[in-house]
Amino acid sequence: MHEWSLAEAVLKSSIKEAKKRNLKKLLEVKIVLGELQAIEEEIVKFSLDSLKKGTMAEEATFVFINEKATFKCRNCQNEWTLKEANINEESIKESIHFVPEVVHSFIRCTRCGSPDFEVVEGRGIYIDEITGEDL
Amino acid sequence: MFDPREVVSREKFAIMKCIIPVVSGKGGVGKSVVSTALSLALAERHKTGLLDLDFWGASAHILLNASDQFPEEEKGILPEEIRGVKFMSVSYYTQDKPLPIRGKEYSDAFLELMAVTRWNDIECLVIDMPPGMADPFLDLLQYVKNGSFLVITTSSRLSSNIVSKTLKILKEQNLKVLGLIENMRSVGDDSERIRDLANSFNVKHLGYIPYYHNLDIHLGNLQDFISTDFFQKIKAISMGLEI
Repeated sequence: MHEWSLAEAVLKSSIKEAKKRNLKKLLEVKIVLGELQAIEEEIVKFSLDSLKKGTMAEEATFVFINEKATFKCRNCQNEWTLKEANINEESIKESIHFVPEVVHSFIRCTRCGSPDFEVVEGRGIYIDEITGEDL
Repeated sequence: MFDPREVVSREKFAIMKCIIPVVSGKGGVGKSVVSTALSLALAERHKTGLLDLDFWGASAHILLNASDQFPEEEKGILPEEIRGVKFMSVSYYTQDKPLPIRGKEYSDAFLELMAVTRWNDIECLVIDMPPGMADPFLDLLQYVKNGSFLVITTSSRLSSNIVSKTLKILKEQNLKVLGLIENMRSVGDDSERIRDLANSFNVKHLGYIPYYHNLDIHLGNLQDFISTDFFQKIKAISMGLEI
């Protein structure tokens, strides 16, 4: 359950950002979950609800947005989706779950076969927006 | 929009009492073997971790004979413990395949590993760095403000020239340099070149290690490795480090 550590990162960063903006308390955190990393939303939510107790995020709601993963080849400009990448082996999915960049060890551009591609969207977890109450 | 991994990565480095990035502008000077030996030597006296940040040329896992299974998970990832060294590497996740990534992807993988790895109570973290001064080196300077750098070179003119640039940046940034190790010295090498280099940057010449022709046969077997003269030399150097 390494989602716990990502949830910790989300909470700490949100609180730090809230303090920077002089917020009294956090009311909502919008979290984007990228399809590539396949993070378990339920585990992140459970972890956040446990971790937020006694912090300025105690009353916060966590809203999750799922983002589809897309890739773009730097060699031929081809774009493709995770579904089209056709990753079926469980051990590969799990490797990518821990460190999404290792996708470069396992797939190539679906058109030209180049290893030089970028994950345009849907890589992993990030915070889209926080809202809170002013001091 | 912001990245939640940055804050925790900075925090994790900031609370560590001792971080030793093993660096060199030049490749092939023995950073990985020195890093691994150093972490094994330090682990005899301190709770020690080894982080292999050479994602393109990860090799510490071979030296440590690390498992090919995923590390355990418990509210994060627990580094595998090998002979007292807590070890983390991207190699656990690449299935020994190449990892052809650019700098942006390197930085992302670096942050991911730092954000999820639970080093717990280690007292000293040794970092095996890739050569050069591109993104990995710059990421290190950005996230690790309390590092004590160990610089590796060979006796060669090429190596000393490139390493002088590494030292120049480290000194310019006011970073702590533990000293220079002169690795793979052979008979006939200029014995003063590296000492002069160290003196010119006011850093310690920590010692030289001869070129051991058959060191390779001891790699990957830890019992064999720690009985080598190479390991004993690194251990002796580690005793004198100001950490």
